[in-house]
Amino acid sequence: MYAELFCQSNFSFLCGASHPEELLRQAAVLGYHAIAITDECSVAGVVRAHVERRKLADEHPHLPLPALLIGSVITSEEGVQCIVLAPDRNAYGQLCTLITRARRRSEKGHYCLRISDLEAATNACLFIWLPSLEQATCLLDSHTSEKPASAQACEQLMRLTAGRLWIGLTQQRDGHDDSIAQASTALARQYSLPIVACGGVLCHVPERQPLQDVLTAIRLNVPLSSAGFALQANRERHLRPLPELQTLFPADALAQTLVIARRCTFSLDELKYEYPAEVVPPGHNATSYLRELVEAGAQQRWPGGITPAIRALIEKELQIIHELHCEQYFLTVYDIVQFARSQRILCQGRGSAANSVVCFCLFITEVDPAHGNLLFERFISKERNEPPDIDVDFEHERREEVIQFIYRKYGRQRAALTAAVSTYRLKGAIRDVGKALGFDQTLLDQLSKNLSWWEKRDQLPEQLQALGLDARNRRLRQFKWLVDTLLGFPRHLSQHVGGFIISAGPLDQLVPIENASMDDRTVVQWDKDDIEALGLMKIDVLALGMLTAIRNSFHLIEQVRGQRWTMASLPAEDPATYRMLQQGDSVGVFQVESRAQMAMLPRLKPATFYDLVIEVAIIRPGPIQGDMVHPYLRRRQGLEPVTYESRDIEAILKRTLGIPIFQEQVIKLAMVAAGFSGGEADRLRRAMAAWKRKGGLEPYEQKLAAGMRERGYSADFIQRILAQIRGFGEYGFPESHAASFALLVYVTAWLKCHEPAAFCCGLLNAQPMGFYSPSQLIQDVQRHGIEVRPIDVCHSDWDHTLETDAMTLHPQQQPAIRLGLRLVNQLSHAGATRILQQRRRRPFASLADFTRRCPLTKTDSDALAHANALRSLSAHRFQARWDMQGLQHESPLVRQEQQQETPVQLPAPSAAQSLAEDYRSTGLTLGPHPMALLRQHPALRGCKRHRDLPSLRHKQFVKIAGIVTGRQRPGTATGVVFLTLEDETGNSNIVVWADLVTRYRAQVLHARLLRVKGVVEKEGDVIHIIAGHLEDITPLLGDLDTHSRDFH
Amino acid sequence: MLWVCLHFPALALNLVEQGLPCERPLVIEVTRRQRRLVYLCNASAHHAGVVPGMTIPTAQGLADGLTCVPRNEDAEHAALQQLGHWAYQFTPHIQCQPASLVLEVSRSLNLFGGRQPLAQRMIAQLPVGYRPFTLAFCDTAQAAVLAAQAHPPCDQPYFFRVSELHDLSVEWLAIDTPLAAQLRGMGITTLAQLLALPRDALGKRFGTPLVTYLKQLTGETPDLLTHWQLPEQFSARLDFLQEVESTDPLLFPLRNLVSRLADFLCARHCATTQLDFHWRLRTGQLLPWSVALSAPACRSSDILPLLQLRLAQTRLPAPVVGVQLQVTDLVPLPQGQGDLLTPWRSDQLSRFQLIDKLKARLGNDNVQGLAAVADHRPEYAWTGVVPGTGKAAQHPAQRRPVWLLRSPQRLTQKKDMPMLEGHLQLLTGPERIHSGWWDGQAVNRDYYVARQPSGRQLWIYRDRGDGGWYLHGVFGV
Repeated sequence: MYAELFCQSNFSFLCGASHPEELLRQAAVLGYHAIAITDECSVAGVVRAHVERRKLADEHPHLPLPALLIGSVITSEEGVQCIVLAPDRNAYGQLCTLITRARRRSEKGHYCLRISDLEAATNACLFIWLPSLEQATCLLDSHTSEKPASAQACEQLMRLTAGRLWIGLTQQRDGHDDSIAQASTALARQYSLPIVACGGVLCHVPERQPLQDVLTAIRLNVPLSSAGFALQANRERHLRPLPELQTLFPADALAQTLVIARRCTFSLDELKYEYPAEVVPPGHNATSYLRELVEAGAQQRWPGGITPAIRALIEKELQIIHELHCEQYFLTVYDIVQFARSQRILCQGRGSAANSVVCFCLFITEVDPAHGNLLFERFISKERNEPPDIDVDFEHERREEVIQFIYRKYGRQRAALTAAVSTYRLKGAIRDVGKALGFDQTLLDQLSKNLSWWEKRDQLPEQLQALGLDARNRRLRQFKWLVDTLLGFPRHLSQHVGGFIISAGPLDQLVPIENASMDDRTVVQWDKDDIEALGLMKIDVLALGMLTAIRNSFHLIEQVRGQRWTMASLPAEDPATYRMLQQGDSVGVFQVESRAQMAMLPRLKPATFYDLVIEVAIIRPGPIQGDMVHPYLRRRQGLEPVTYESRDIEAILKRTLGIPIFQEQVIKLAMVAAGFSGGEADRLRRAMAAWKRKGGLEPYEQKLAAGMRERGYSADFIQRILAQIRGFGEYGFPESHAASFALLVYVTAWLKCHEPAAFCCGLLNAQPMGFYSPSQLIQDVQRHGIEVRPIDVCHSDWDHTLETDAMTLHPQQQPAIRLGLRLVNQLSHAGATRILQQRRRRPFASLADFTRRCPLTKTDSDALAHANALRSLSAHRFQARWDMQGLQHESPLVRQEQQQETPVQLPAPSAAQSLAEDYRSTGLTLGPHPMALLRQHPALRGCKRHRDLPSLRHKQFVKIAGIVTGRQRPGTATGVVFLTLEDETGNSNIVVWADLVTRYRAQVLHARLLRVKGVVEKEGDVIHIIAGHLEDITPLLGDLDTHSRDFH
Repeated sequence: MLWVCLHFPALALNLVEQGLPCERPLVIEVTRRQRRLVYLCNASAHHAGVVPGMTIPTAQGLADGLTCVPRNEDAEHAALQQLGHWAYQFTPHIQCQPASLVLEVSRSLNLFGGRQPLAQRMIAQLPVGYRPFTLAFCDTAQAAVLAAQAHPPCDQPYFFRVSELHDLSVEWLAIDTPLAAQLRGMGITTLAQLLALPRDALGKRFGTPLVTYLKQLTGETPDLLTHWQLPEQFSARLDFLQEVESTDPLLFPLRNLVSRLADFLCARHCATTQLDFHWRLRTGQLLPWSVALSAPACRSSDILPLLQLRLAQTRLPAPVVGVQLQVTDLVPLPQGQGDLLTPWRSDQLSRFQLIDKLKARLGNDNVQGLAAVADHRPEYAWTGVVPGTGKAAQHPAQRRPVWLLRSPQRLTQKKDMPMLEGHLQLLTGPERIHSGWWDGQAVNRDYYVARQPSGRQLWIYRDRGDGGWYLHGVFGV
């Protein structure tokens, strides 16, 4: 029997060549008694191995599995290498603290440990010392009086860890085995230490050694051919079979591995999370305080009284929360949300537990459970016995305030961001492996370029062929294997966008903390999957641009109308709002503004809040790939009868007309229709989320199919359900998320419908965000009859503002939007502030007055003239620029008449020049659209406008031209590209099928002005043009600066 | 004055194609604000839709198998210098401008018979590999540059007066890009518009350099004439009065050339390591005769003895009628290192001199040094190098024989154990070497130190692929 105590996974980053899961599984196959994952100054990989072990135990309940030991290998600053192992919970805490200390001292990705650090509380840890030959020689030589620092540090290590120290003996058959064995034996005799066998494992099987070599070359940033002795001489550093180990190591050394392993009883399952205590005020316990807050909130939410149904729901939820002991979780989230509300920062919760009555009463969510027929199925379940999950979105510009509040309140010892493990993607893998193999840079550029968002990776052989390479060539076979294997390997830990872990005691006794690349940020060594797998609590503090836009809009409405709206106080189920959405009029509206959503709205015709929930969830890659959209639409439009396979199914799928749309429904289906237990269904949910990355859905599929067959469901139905589950992948939307998003859809749609000027202005001030550029948003609002006034130093603020001409605004009237100085390219905020300060004192009388009072930098004044923002003070922008520059170079000390210069009158810009300047300086124009100027050009003869399309017949031939403002290549539609062409009347959607994309690659990718010949495709109000011929007519634009936004 | 500008719009491409003619798509790339951009492209790339200014990834998307060569401005400058040297035959007044040569030729017109004959002669004699080009005559240097750069390449010369250039766009002017953008921002797009503005107002806004430039362009400020600088390298030739058939007499002219070289090196305070001689044969052929020195030398007394040795070994295929010497590789003499006349340490020098002498006697290729290479595989762990350049590389700590067989020799075996003149006794091992998968020369072996009955120690291995035993090296006693 043997326990491997020295084993690094790929979480030692560019060192180990196997996943922790693979190591654990291989140790099980080889019949090891235990395996320690000892990544370098890190425990980042241990949870993966732990989860793998749990999974193996599930799959093979009778198989003896190796114990998983937690440890880390560390090389001290003095050059002493040792393995630290955690035998119990106490020692584990000490290990975490030790790693934290070593990591916090250094910049991201590095660590610094001194042997003297072991003095502070490591008395429970076990140590294996890995002496180098030099250290051994030094220590064994009795004649040297002066010992070097590293040898002294070794002796210090022995002093500090007496009774808990072993000498690690490695045997790698590299020609040093005998000398190492002799040195170890001598050291053991001299210091009376036991010897223990160590594998020094870097990969789980010898076949991984080539990848290990490649990782070494990547780490050193040299090709393999120059990596020299940094590479391993052979493939010995893998998990070796027991008989082989017996020939390599003395029996005693092998027996000691078991001695150590038996002392290590700690399991990650022991980590019990304790919630922060300060959220409960004195005189309360968590239960009573939560109840008090919920009751108070319910009073506010339902001032007219609570219906019995709501009352029952409150009681049920509080009961579950109590049974799961997670009151403090809700109180912690409440605390954070309360802070945001006190600062008037808009926020909205989502996640499994967010859309509960309790959260509604705590103001964590604004989704009113009384509004829709939401079923809170996935609200925390007792069976799953895991902590609830609430993500909270905050206004993107103010989230940092919330993050700083959390650090302030709980301290950096107790609050940290979770890690995000960045892993190798195809492009990086190709680049790094290619470099290691010494491939030509140009070739690698081409490989990674062509694969980026155009081609999928199963086309690699064809790609190679196109580059004149033979995929059967040995080097290319190696290359492909290495790239494939490297995919998904962790590269480094970075910070998660907003996943916080907050603990009751010091966090660094739960998990090591290290520095993030951003100043003032720290991350823990586990990512959110790890934390979820261990059942620890986290809160996602996320940033959402749309919340900023909503708050901006509310604020603007209050300014011009004196009316104060909140998300909760907007009139519910407003018919005008739904009428607008039904027409696909949704530019700027949250979530439903994309091309696909816009095309769906007129078909789905949402009329209630729940329709929005479905709309949000259904136009996602998952449901589209699972072919759920069209069946749902047909049923909704009454073209297909709504049928259910059984009464059980009906109960689950009734609210989505028999089509599973939400993740919760799939889980429920597995339980009801295939007899999955709660735990199994939950594992299915995880597997669904991960299968795109890792695969591993097959066992569940077989079980599902078998379970459903047993219960008499038809083969056809089973196949359909399986396809839908596969389609869900990681894109499937839980109903609670969809409900939270749907609320924002409703709020923004209401704003767009009733307060279009304020909404557009609010969106513009929240830029950059969303799907559309300021130019597109402004064109849209102009088409809705809102006046948009140009940037003007005499009227504009920094932000865009609303202007009313009369003192009071009639309720039916809309204010005008005055564009703000923030739109001016190159204008500094400081310069703009100076202008606004001076204008507040008194208006500018002339350009000379302006220049004198606002001493701007040359860049600033140029930018203003360029954007024609001096329009009230000068004849036109050319003249303004000329005059400004003249005025600026005048010195106030020299008398005016001495610097009189010959006055110059420059000609005014032409329409095309103005347009070009507008685009270049602000990215948009309020003057004529470029297409309006080009309309008379012979090249556009016979081209229709967007406005003309509705009058055309289905399948009619059409010629249309416009500026390409969007290119989309959805992952769901193989090879199709959707182009958006903008002209002076609106945006037209062009569909370019895959074969055409190949033929017109240059046009599809690069044309800014495009002429398309094609066929009109009409379905109800939805119009597409199927392209047949594309022509790049960009040269007509001259130097107009219109850039498309490319969405991936 | 009369100026002519020779502009090479594709100079960077010319230089690449001179070295490597390319049928496949090729671009010259530059990096601007961390973006790789196409600077120039060849016909094949252009045909695929690549245009200058495009990003490299975009160009790669358009042209399959695109070759990207970074722009080398130094090479362009050097090429222009050489062209300047060539142009020296037309006038001594030559200036280099980006991708252009500007010559003042008014005094040369009589010699060449007028503008047109001069232009035709320049075109006819232009070194190969510098096409396309534009040749433009104008009254001022700046106007000639403007005319040449603003007009498409053509085999025939352009003749302009400054006034004929007024409708050109300001983009073509030799001014900074931001300045051109500013002018455009005032609606000033043509040279005529710019010239129409008061100079004082222009100077106030855009600084005096613009005004100076405009004055130079129009001839209000006369152009300064500059003389072409002397070449930076040594080149000299000697013609013999009579044919020489044996090598002995050749030492005399060599001494002459080397002496002149030494004077040149002395004047430039330089030394050299490479002397490129050519013997001109009666047949008209040039026989290259290069002498490389292991250390830079600048004195006749250091160089001549070597030449003497080499000369003794040289066979002349035909009688010699002349010799020329070119020295391009100049190294500056080290500064402030004691005696000016003994710039290198004498022990080093004597070692180099020994190598030089060995090479001179045995031939260049027959003298080699050895160096260790960091590779686990024994047969790749060493390499031959130029003598004296081998560095002490990292060396495996394990025991290695100095004598390695050129290729491993298969041993006979008896009961699975290796034999060579009797049973071999395995002393230490195995040392497993399993490496080299990446270059197709993978090895997978267990090495042992073995003793023959005679007591000689051998380095043998068992191949883990075929199971056979091999002898790979012999240890010294």
